[in-house]
Amino acid sequence: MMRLVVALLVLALGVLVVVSMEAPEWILAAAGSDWFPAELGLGAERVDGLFDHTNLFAAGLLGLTFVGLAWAVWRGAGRRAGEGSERSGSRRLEVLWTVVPAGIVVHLTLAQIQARDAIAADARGGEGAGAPLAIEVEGVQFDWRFTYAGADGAFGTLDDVTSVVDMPVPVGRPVELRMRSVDVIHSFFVPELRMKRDVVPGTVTPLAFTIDAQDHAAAGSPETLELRCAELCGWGHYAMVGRLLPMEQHAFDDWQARAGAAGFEAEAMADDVEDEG
Amino acid sequence: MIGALRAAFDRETTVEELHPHEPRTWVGRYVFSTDHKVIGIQFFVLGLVMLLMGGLMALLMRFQLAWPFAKVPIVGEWLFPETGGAMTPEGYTALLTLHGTIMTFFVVIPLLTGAFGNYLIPLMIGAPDMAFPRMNALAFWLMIPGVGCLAMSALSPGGGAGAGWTSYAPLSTVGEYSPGSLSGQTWWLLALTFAGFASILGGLNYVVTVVKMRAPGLTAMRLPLTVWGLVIAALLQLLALPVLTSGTVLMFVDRGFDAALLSPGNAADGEGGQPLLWQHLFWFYSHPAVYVMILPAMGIVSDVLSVHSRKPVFGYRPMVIAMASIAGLGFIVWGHHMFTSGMDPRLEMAFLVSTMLIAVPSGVKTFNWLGTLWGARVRLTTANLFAIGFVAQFVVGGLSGLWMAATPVDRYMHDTYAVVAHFHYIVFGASLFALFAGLYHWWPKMTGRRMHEGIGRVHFLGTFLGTNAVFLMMHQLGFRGMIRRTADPTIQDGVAQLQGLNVFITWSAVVLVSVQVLFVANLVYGLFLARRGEDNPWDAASLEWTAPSPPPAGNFRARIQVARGPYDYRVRPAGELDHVPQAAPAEQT
Repeated sequence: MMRLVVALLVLALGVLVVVSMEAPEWILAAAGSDWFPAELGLGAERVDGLFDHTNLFAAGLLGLTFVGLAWAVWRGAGRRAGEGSERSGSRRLEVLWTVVPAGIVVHLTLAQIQARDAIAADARGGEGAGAPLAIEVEGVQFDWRFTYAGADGAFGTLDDVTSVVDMPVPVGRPVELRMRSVDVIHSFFVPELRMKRDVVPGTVTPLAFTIDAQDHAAAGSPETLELRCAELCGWGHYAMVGRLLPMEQHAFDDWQARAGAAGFEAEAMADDVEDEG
Repeated sequence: MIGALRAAFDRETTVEELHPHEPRTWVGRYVFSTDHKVIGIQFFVLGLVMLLMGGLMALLMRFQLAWPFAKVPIVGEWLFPETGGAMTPEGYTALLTLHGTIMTFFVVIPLLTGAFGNYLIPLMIGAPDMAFPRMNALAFWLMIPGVGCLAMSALSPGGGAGAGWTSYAPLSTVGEYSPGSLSGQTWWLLALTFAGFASILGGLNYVVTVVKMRAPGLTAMRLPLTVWGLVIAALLQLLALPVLTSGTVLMFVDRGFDAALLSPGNAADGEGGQPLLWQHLFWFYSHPAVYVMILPAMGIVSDVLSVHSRKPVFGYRPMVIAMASIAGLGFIVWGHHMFTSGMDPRLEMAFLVSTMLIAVPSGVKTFNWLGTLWGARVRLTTANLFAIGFVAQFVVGGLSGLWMAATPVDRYMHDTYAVVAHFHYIVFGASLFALFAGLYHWWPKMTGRRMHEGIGRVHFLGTFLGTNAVFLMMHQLGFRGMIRRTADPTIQDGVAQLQGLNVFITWSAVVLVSVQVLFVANLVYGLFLARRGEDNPWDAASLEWTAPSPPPAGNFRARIQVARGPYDYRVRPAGELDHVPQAAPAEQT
């Protein structure tokens, strides 16, 4: 009785894990959600592809081990005194189960390195991409701040545009972030881009991404994507949320012009107040 | 030099060279004892009490994740009077810091190395005690101020340390960034330092004991795998802990004297330190520490599987080599915790490759456990059930490591619940299952009584189901992007849809913790109610079962001479002895 229970339990866990790796959408649909967030970044498909490819081998190995384990326990618990084997090793088997996993590891490692380079190239917009849009990102407990160069394309000039929480970006154009932190380590994480990079005080960390225009349209042109701080940054970490606003280039230009003008006026007013004081 | 090492390793020490020490008073015998068995049991008591604390903290955290900012039942008004019983965000960060610190440094490491290491090493190598019994006692007694400091941290004004068990600078070094970072973080550092020194002293002791005090004939390749796991773990502690300790010293200086060694300080003058330095120092120890938490567990499981399945460990030598390679590789993989940290991309590549390589020896271990069970006469004792559960869950936790090794995937998974699921499958699903397997297996050794098998089996079933109900679906939450250390998952758009999963996990955690009542009941049964008498109830072959159960001071009644390995199990008809004790004379075979 117990041996059947244990064997079935092991098998059940194996099936559940394999399903959750190979057909996760079933489980997530049952729980009320789609699978991974939409793949909106250029290169995001490669990340998921690498994940699926890894899972092919992982699920295969896991299935093999779990079936073996369940069988060995079920069969073994039925043996009586005088039955069974005394075998304490096998050179051939050891070589087999060292060499085969090693081969898989080499294959996966090469696939990972390849994907890593391709994803980095994709993130910069791939071949023939236009000039990247530079944005300066500042993490501060518990907010995200963004600075755009404005129409003149140069930082530190009067038409620089600043924004808090909201981060408009043009769809289809490569974006290059230069990230700094005012206080502690934060981490820039947009699930749809499949990217995450820490924002470390004292250094500038770069991050490049491009929102794929086709994927964006295919996903119903979402207007906001959630930007999460992923690294514990203090008591308000859970609420350190920003918003990535994907928009067409012309809408982005409009926004930048409007926000730039508003900012200029505000600055001028502040200067006036200072002069009067 | 290798010749000299070999000579030192192979030198045989006789029991007569050492004196069993018998203190006369009760306090000397059971409290400030230098007997390795008493110290081992003291570590068990400490570790299990802390396990209970850490588990209850996990329940509190799970409550918050299922019903964010709702009034916490039972203890809410006592813990969070200022909000009328609802958890505060800073309370949550303090809890996650305490939970991680307790479970790593005060539960899993002390239970596996401190408790099992102390109790088993001398018995398994046929020695009357440790090489340095007083240093051994000191190692335990250093843990007590460590626990005290942790309590001070939790109770300090401003709330407990709130930077996570990893305590990344500058959140942990600059007071104004975290309320708990005022004095709570300093107490946390002290706690870590006490536990660290305890581990260094213990590790030194284990290595010297195994090198110098093995019974005659007990060559390196005749040691039980438990001893191998413990010794390799001890070497890891010895080599890696000083690095963490140097990191904690830097952090002390930062906190005490505003030195800004680990933070840029006043960035304008450009003379500050580098926050990544702490991460490098921390993970240079803490990744090997992960293997300190798994290698002894692997050893224990190998022993339990072999004894209860009446078959020699399959591939003994490859098992030893695999453990040694996991430990060796463990020193060059720490950077895989830092794939998103902004370190040099060229380093990433090296860490990617070294991390992937660990899959090979881990696979060798798994296949050899299967080989041990294959064709065996499996007895489904509680100890063996937990060992089988270990193998299954180790495979799950090991394979999910492949995602974390793949830098592009890791950049998605890092700091999400996929990572939480991954490491809980290893430290809970594997390490703690090995703890239970080991406890049920060696309980008769420690007490002379057996725990109740019926209660034990139900305990196993509940724990196995509970563990997977709690941790399996955390992968899915992580895939959807749920970040770690968040006090409120419903804030995240995509994750809020999956709140049902979080509620399910919380209820499963309630079940998982409740099932442990059976374990406590079994401890009580095993201590007071079970019949005593058998010296070797499992018919185990290794040396520790040659001694009486429980063993007297000095351990062995007779001189030990070893002529074989620890796993001499055979196929014999009913009524005949199916194993040859390791201490049996050579001619008996």
